[in-house]
Amino acid sequence: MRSRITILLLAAALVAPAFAQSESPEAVEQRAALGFVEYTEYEKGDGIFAITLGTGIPLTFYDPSAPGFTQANAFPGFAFGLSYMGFLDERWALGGDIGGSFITTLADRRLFVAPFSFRAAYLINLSPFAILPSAGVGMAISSLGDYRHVDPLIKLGSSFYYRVNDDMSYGLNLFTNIIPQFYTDSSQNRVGFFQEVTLSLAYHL
Amino acid sequence: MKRTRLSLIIAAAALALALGSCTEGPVGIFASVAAETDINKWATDEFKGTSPNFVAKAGSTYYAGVGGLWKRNIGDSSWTTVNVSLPSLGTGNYAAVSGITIGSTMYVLFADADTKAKLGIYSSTNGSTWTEVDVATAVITKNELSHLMTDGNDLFAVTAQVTETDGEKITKHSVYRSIGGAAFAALDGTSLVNADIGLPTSIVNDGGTYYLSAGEYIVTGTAGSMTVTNPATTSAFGSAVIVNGLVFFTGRDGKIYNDDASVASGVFSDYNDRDYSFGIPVVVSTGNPTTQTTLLVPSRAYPQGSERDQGLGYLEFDATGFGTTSAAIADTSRRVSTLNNYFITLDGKSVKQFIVFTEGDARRLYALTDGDGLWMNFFDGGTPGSWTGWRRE
Repeated sequence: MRSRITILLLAAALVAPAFAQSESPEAVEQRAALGFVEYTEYEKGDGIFAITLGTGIPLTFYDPSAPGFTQANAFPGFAFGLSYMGFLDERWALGGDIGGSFITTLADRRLFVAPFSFRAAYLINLSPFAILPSAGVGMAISSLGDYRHVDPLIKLGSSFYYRVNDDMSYGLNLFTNIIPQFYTDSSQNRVGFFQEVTLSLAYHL
Repeated sequence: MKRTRLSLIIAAAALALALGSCTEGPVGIFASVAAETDINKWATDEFKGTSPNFVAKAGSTYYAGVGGLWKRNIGDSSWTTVNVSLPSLGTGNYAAVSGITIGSTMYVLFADADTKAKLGIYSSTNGSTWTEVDVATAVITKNELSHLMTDGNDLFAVTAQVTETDGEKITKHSVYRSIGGAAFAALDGTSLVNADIGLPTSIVNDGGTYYLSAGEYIVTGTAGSMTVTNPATTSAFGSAVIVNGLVFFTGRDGKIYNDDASVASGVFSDYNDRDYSFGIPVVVSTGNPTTQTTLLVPSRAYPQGSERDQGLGYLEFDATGFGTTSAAIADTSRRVSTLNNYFITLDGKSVKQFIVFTEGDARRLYALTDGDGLWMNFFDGGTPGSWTGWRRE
C-alpha cells in the first residue's frame, strides 16, 4: 500500500512541471509587459568555441593510379584543435576550425597533418544533449621530415555535446578528414583518410 | 565585425605560413607513407642512436664495432655481443674502435672501454681467437692509434700525435703499413710520420700508386716515396675512391675531384638546394644479368666549428663512364633501393661511410651513420637480382 502511494507521488512530481509550464495567456501578456525576454539555448548570434584533444587515426590511403586503398602504415597519434561555430538561427551554424595531428608511421617517421576548415553545421537539439553534424572544406598542411605539402580538405562528421550549464558543454567529436594530395608527378598522388576522435570543452558565447 | 576581421587575418596568416614553408620532395608524403615497410623489424635496440665505427667480416660472420664488438652470422637476423678475450689481457670491457677486413681476416683496434687507452691492433678469422699484430717491433705508440684503413690488400694504421705549445693543441698524423699482418713500417718515413696533414680517412691503390685523402691534403706515391700536396681547394676531402680504374677524391664541399684535385665537378645539391658534404664512398658491382656498377657517395655532417654540416643521405651515380665533368645524378634514378625506400631510411641522415661485402653473387651493403645507427641493404644475386632496400640493423 505504501509503495503504491510512493509511486503516485513520484508520478505527480514528474507530471507537475508540465502543468506548471502551461501558463495562461494573461500571464504571458503580463510578463511581456514587465519586460521579460525569453531566450532559447541556441539562437542567432550565439557561438560555440571548443578546445579539443584526442587522437588522430590514419585510416587508409587511396591510390588513384592503382586504383585501390592501401594500408595506412601509421599509428594513431595525438590530435588537438580549436573550433568556433556561430549560429545563424536556432538550427544552422557556420564556423571553422584549426588543428593538428602528430602521427608516427611504420618506419618510425613523424607525420604531421594540420587541417584548416570552414564548416556548415545543423543543430539537433535534444537538450541537454545536442548533435551538430557538419560538413566543411578547407586545406590541410602535411609535413613529413623536410617535406611539406598544402592540399585541399573535405571534413565530414559530427560533434555531440552535453550541456553542463548555460556557459559550457562537454563534447565528443568524430570527424573524417579527406585530403587529396596532388603532385607534379601524378604517380605520387594519393588521397588520405584520417579519423579524428576527440573530446572537447565547449564554451557558449 | 571585429570577429570576422580577426578570423580573416588568422586564416590569411595560416595560409601564408603554409604556402611559404611548402617544400615538395621527389616523393609524395602520403605515397611515401603508404609504401612504407617495417624497416625496424630486425633492428637491434642497442644500435639505435649510435655511430657505428666499422663493419668487418671473418668467414661467414659479420662483426660490427658499436661500442663493443658485435657479431651476426650470415643466416642470422640479429646481432649479438662478442665476449672478446685478448691475448695476455683476457676478457674485459673492450671498445672496438676501428676495424677492416682483408680476405677472410679482420683486424680490429681495441681500446679499454673505461680508460679509453688503446690496447693495440688484433687480427682474427673467427672472432674468438685473437692475435696482436706486430708485437715485436712496435714502431707505433699504441695510445696514438686513431683508426685502421685498407686498400684491399694491406693493413694501414693511422696515428694522431697531439702536442701542446703555448696552450695550442697541434695534431700530427702518421700512416703505417703492415703487409700480411707483418711488422708495421711507416708508409713514408719522411713525409708520413707525424706529418702536418689532416686526418687520413682513406687510401686506395691504383696500380701500385697510393692515394690518400688527409683533410685538405692529398698524399700520392709509392711506399717510401709519398708526396703531400695541398691542392687549391677551399674544402677538405672526404675520401679517395677508384671508379673504373680512375682515382677520384670526394670533397666536403659537395664536389668530386680528379686524382690530383685539379679538376672538380660542380657542387651537388639536394632537392632543397643544400650542398652535399661527401664522406667515404663505395663502388658496388652486381653481375646479373649484366654488370651494373654503381658509385654510392655518402653525405656526412662534418663538424664546422661549433656547428655541423647537414647530413643529406647519399647520392647514387652510374659508375660506367664516371668522370668529374660527366658525373650526373637524377633523384629518381636509384638502383640499390627504391626512391621511397631511400626517403624512408637514409634521406637526411649523416652517412659517414659505405662498406660492401660479397656473398657469392649476392652483395651486402652497410651504411654507417653519425648518430642514426647501422643500416643494411642486400642484393640477392638472382637473375635478375634485386635489392631488399635499406633496413635498420
